[in-house]
Amino acid sequence: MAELNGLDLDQMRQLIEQVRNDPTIAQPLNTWKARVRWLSGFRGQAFIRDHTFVIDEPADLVGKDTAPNAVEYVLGALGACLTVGFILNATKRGIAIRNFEIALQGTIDNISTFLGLSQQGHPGYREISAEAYVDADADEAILREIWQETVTTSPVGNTLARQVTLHPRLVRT
Amino acid sequence: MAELPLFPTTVVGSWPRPPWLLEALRKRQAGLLSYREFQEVADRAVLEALRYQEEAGIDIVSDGEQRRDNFYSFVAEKLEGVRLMTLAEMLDYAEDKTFLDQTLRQLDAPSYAIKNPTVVDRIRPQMPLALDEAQFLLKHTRAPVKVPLPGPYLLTRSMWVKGISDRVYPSQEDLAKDVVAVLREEILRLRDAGVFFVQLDEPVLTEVAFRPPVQVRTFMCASLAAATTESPARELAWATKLINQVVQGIQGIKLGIHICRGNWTTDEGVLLAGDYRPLLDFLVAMKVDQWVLELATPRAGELTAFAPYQRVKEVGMGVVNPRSAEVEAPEAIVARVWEALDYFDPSQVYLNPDCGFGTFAERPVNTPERAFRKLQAMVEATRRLRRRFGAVTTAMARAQAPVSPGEVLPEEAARLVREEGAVLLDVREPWERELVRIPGASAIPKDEVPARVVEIPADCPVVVYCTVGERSAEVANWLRAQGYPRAVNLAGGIVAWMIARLPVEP
Repeated sequence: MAELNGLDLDQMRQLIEQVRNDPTIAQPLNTWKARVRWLSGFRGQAFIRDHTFVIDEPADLVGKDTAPNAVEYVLGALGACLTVGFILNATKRGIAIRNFEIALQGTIDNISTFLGLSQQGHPGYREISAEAYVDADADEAILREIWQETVTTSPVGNTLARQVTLHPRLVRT
Repeated sequence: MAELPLFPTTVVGSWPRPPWLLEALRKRQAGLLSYREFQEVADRAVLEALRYQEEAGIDIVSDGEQRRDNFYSFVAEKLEGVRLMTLAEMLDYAEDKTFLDQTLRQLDAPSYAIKNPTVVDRIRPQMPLALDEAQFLLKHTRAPVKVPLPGPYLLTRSMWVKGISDRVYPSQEDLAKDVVAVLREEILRLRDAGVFFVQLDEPVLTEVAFRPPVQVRTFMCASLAAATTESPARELAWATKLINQVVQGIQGIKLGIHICRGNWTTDEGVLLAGDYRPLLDFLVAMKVDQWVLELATPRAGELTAFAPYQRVKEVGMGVVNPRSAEVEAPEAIVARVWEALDYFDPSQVYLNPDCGFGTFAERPVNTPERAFRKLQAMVEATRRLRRRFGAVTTAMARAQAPVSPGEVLPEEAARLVREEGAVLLDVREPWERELVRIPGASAIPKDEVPARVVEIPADCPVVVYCTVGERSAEVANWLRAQGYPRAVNLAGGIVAWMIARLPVEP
């Protein structure tokens, strides 16, 4: 089994080949689901396929600080997404990556809006920085190209940078 | 121990590594060079670092820490039971992950790039920590040699990581015992090899004392964050105790402690700031000869911080900023030293940069050329200071001449001039007077006094002085026999006068 960056090359090639021949087989990969259940206080638990994780708020925000909060998970999700993309693109080019790490930081436009104390701006992130560090033997120009490609094709990156249509609904039980 | 002239110049330790040494270091770290092969490359770099110091005229030299990747993690290669682990490997174990993340953001570095020596088993010297460094340097220089060693507090705090080290050492105190023994043994070895000065580096003490907010903490000890949330006084007392255990009773070598406020960036704005007051009681209690301190930037505070403890220790005064581009003016260095003489004897003052020029191999804070010019500025300042004080050695300036009949101390001499119209008589040679003199003094070189005695008024007290009070004692005795009953000698000469902070010119 040929392996690069911890990925099975044959399996990856096969997937890319299959989708190229028949784009409909990628259809299920377009939809993703999560269920989040309130526990107590600000604690919630996410159930995603056969996985689960907890979401909380830091003590400064009256939480118990037992887990990251939701906006932090957004940063985690973006970082993970960029990581997947970078490794995918590097592996496709046959480049071995020794180390890769991203430091993210987001700035909320106006958190007072969330607390209902202000009408100015909005409570979402205004900007997010992502500093990526890579340790590999490839040319720096190539690594920069891969990074650029990764950012423009990132699912989470695009979710954050574009308008997403939300469909909220409340059901009384 | 070697007798040094006044105001000896020295370095704190590190020197910027040449690119070819860094390349060899990277190969060594990747396992592509053997220990021996790397040392051969480093030999050349040491000689280069030494040549810079010798050409600048530095009195006490170091090997520029050329063999080390930084000032403390190099011990991983020398000690069994210590492994250089990246922060990436340690993140799961770190007690305060927020602190580590902040540190990495400060450094603009990923966790995999920062390495920490971590205790994974009982520690035992595989080879001496710095003896090989010292022996090589001693073989190539006649100057007294300084060897910096990481201090016991720094080593214990950085190497003990909960979840990894506690399997062999349940607590930091348990590890500290072995660290103290290793360092103590090393100092004795270095002394026996002929090393003049061992400096223990304890840079983290400032972080403990100043308790900076987490965003500006810069040290990479995984467990330090926990320490700083505890009582700083307790931590500092523990550090002091460890240092004293290391040096207890060791004779025949100069021992110093170096503390600083960070030396990993040229951005002064993110380095720690604070004066020595919160540390002073602990510094005084440390049984070392010398404090090697940052004093060249405003971040280190005013010298007045030393007012409560005057003349208790030597000071290795940081007089140049190792990180800045501009080279300090010798006049400014002289002025700063002059200011320090309010709190330290001339014999207690050594001149050095605030810190090393390349604390971390991959992050030198200056170029060798600029570092060299800064050393030259220090040496020039020392030369001017020595000229002022005459060619006296540290021992001579230390000797407080007892006042015998016919002698007065500087304060009394000044009073005689002020209140009784005494004449000051300088009996030194003209070239000595040009360097420094007491304002308003008359001058007759000693050998010319008999021939020119009529120039000296006999109806008032005469205070005779020279450099340290030997020549002038003879003249004063002679004058008294010649009908000058009120002729007295200035005990300790103009050196004592200057130490007493009485005015001199130019």
